[in-house]
Amino acid sequence: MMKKTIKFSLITVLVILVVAEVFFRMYYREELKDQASPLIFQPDSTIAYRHIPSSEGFLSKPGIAKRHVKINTHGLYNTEVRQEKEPGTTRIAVVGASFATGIYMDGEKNYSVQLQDLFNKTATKVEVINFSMDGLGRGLANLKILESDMLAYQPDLILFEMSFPLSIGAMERDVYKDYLITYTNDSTRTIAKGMVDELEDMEMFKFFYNCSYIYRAFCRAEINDFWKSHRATLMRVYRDKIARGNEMEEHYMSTATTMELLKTAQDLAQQHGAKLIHVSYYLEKNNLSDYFNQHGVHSLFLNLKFEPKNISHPDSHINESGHAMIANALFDSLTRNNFFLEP
Amino acid sequence: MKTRLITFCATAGLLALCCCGKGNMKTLALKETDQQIIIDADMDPYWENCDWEPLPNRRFPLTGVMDPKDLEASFKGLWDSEYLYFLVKIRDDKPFVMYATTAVEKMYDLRIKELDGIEFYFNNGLKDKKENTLNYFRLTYGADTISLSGQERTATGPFSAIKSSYKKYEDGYLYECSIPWGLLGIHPSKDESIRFELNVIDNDGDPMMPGAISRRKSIITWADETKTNPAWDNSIYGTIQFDKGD
Repeated sequence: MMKKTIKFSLITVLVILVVAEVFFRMYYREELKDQASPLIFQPDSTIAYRHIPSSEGFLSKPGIAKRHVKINTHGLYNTEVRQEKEPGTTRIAVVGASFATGIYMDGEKNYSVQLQDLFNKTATKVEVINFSMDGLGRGLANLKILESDMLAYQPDLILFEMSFPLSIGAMERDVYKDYLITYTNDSTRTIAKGMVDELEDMEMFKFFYNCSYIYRAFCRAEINDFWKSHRATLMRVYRDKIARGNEMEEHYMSTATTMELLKTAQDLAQQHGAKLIHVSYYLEKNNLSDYFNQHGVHSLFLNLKFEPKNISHPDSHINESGHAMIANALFDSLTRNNFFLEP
Repeated sequence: MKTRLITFCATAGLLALCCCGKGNMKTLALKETDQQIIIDADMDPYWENCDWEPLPNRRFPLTGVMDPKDLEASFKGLWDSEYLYFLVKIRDDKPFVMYATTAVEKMYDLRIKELDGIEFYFNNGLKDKKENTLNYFRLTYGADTISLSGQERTATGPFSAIKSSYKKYEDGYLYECSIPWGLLGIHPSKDESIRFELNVIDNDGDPMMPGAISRRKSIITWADETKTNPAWDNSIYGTIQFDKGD
């Protein structure tokens, strides 16, 4: 009798597990799928990190189908371009964080690519080059790309993705044993690398994680409170393929300092024959346009409203249709205003 | 057949229990006062009837050791037929006040939730939540207004009935406040308790770099030990009970 009861209990458990596994694979496939982070970054003393020239990798996140990412020989997420500008060409440089970079998106063509496609259909010779770098706290770091990289390409127009006030605190990035590591100093870099090394010995955890969606679901619940245990932190590293030596905290420059920095960058661009415009994708609010004008800083508000269908849910980045909205709005604005290059 | 059914249910139930967690809930009994409490941030004699209740947990930063001189807090609570009263004593070696004058500065530089202050969280557990039921408010050191939902608001409308006062005190500051029962949606004449959490925030005014806005440096809590944001999860609140005496 006892044997029969035990046997029945075991069968019951097995049936429940099979049903649960099927359930999670069917209804939580996107949230629990294998993730990948492109290993395309190296640290940089000026701008925190930059792309490794000629590198490539894969990105896969909930809401973003697995996609191939390729960096050109100049370290830009862009097709190959020559640093020297062809005569008669209007060169537009785009710089911003993840929206402008367009790596974290569901789809293939970010707005820089789509904007280039739109101009290719016209008689005007226009070249769009994307100098963007994704990440939190990148406002000031991306402004520095102007001087460190961009001006050498002699752009005529620089579209700087508005970060107001300028965000700071971008962490450094590097690649270590098939993982992306993020850190703020040598000590946290060591912590990040240590977590990757520790995962190498966790064969049982990796086996169950790779095989079972039920196990992934439990891990996900634990990861949501990742600060509560070292184990949850390691689970998060394995899931994301990113080892964070410490958690990112985004800070901001004051509005007064932001305007000083933007004006300085604008003046520097002008000295090199370029016009710098700060672009916001969204509706203008809080009279920011007037505020920018008062400080002599050029701004452009595209006044776009992204719908849920334009977002790569559950990721928060816009998808290819969202990028199309930006490309079309920029194309209209630039062609209507002769690229804002008239005095 | 009956045995198999019982076994199935027991097994399934056991599995379900394994998936659930159970937490401890912190509880504090508040005494009733028959004296009129004046909201002036003074350590008046009626506060001597109750003990200081410490905020022993740190919610932020997630790791590291905190110096008590940097931030330490405790509170007292009393109630009467009209109000719930709190007196909060904060030890802070660098109280910080942020001044914003222009509209843009107030909108972008003055991040209320990052400033020195106290955040009160309530959950009355009622299914029918009325529109003007208070579940959160903030007292910011150096400010004359209460804040709701992280935005600075002058005290108008139904929540203007919350009174508060602060004063510098020893190596920190004192804050005293009164909350009308009507705002909490309950009354001790018929309710025994309310779920509650208290957070104290410290900003030392040290920006990450010159020209930057300083962010909060640490947060301590009364009930929660799990470093959970009380705005996201009210299951971590403790409970204050209304001690009605004999």
